Amino acid sequence: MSHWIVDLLLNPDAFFRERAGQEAGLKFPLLFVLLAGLAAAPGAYTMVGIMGPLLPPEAQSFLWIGGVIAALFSLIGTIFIFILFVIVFHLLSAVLRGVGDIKKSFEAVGYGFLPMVLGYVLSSVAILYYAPSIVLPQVDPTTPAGAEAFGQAIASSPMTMMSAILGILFILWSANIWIFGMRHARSLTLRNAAITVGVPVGIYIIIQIWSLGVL
Amino acid sequence: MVFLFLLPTTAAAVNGEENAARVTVLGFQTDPALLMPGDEATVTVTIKNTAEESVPISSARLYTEKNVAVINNPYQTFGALGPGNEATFTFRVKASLNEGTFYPVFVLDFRDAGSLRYPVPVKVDGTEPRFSVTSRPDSFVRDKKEIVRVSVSNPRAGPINGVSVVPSGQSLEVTPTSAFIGALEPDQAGEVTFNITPAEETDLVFTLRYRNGDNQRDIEVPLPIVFSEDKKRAEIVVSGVEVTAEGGHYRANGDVTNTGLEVAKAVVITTGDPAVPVDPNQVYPVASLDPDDLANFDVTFKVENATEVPLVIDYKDADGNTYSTTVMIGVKATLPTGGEGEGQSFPITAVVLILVVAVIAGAVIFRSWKKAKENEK
Repeated sequence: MSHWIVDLLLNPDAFFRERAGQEAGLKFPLLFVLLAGLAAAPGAYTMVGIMGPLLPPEAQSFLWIGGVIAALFSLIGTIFIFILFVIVFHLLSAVLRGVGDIKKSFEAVGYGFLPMVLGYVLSSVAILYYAPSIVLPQVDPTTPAGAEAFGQAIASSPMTMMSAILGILFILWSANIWIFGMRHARSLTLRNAAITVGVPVGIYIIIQIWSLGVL
Repeated sequence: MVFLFLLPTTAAAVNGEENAARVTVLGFQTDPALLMPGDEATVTVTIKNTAEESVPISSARLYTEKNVAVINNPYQTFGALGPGNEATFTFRVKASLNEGTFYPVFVLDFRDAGSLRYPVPVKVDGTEPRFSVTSRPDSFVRDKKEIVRVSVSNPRAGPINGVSVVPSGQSLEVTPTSAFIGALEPDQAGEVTFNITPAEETDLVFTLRYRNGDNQRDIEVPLPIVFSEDKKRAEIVVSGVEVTAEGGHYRANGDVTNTGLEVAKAVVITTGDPAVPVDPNQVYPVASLDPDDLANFDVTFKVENATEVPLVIDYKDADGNTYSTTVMIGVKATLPTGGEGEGQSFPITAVVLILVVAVIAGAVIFRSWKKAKENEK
């Protein structure tokens, strides 16, 4: 008899099979989403700090406000992604003849955010650790050319690459949980559950890779 | 009786000699007054009959001396010179190549008496006019107009006429093409100015032309034009260069300073091969830089597989001559690198971490699917 978190991570099929007949519990799923958002917040705060030298001296004393706003946006963004995935998975599973309460979809997707908590922690640590090594161009970021140059410098930095790759790996891990979660939440075949989760996540990963300029 | 017949004749002969003795040389003149070796000149001798009777003259001759050849002797016959009258005899002579004072002899043959011999001094001096460059630039630069002043002086005892200076040479632009000074009396000097624009290293030859009497003479004085660095010219020094990568190209900015002594006009900065200048600052114009002035620049360029690129600075001098200076600027050194002491470890750490996560995630996914199959059974 192993801990339920171990089961969730290593044997999600058994984890969700056990909860299939139970009432959906959102306490832990929402906690995981919240933790993921909070784990991403330090990284977002640090990224704003990187831009400090480009701002006028009088604006630099208010840089922390920008950092806090960025941290809040990362938290809100994580919740938004959670809701987006739930809706997309639910609708897609409905197309594939899935049945079940949307609350169970929320539960399944929320549990799947557990690996992303770890992923965001690692990404934030990477950003905190390597951010000082980024050399940004001395340009005016308010001009189109400057903004492009600035964005490219950040996107092409090893730190950003590392963060993105970790994000992709952990979302694959989450997707694995979501497949079994949606299978039991929506009474899908394993194949249809894989399609339900695989298509949106695949698109999401492609978008992530494209934003890195690889594609 | 015979004596009586001879008496008038004898008396006449005595009178002729007395009268001839009273013919004197009033003066002589050579033109030019001072000959140069090989010059032709005219020798003029003036005589006067101070007797009260006419003196018959057979001929007037100037005899060639060793160093002064008489070219013509037009007075092979002559009539009588009336009482109180003067006569002038002009002869053409040519000096040898020797210098000194020579004395061709003027001989006046009287019909009723002997002759009058008078050595005429003819001075020959080889001293030539002096030509000197009084002002020239410290150095000549290709296609740059420079002023050259030359002076002509006359150290001779006699005047020279029609003095002019004509500069010439290959690949040279000279204004004016010649300069006229005119006559120069002894110990006088004249100065003329030329604008010289050399296209390549050459010999600038000044031809000094003058006349000594009727004798046209030339002296050629070469002035080698050798290019060297203009000590006063503007010199552009580049400092504080910072190259940053942005938006798919590089941006180089820094300062340019004129450390020369002359103004640098129309300063334009760009990058050279292998760099390709790109917008927004393919070239960067800087206003004129006075000596010790400083201005900043900002150029944008693209380059691949290069660690440094040439920064090309073009500028002009006050005469419009264009100069170019090239400075190499590093590119690779300014590319983004890791933090202090972590440039090497960062990628390795990242790769290791990513691999570990990938392996763990892969193993977990594999295990979960394996378990799922077991759960089906």
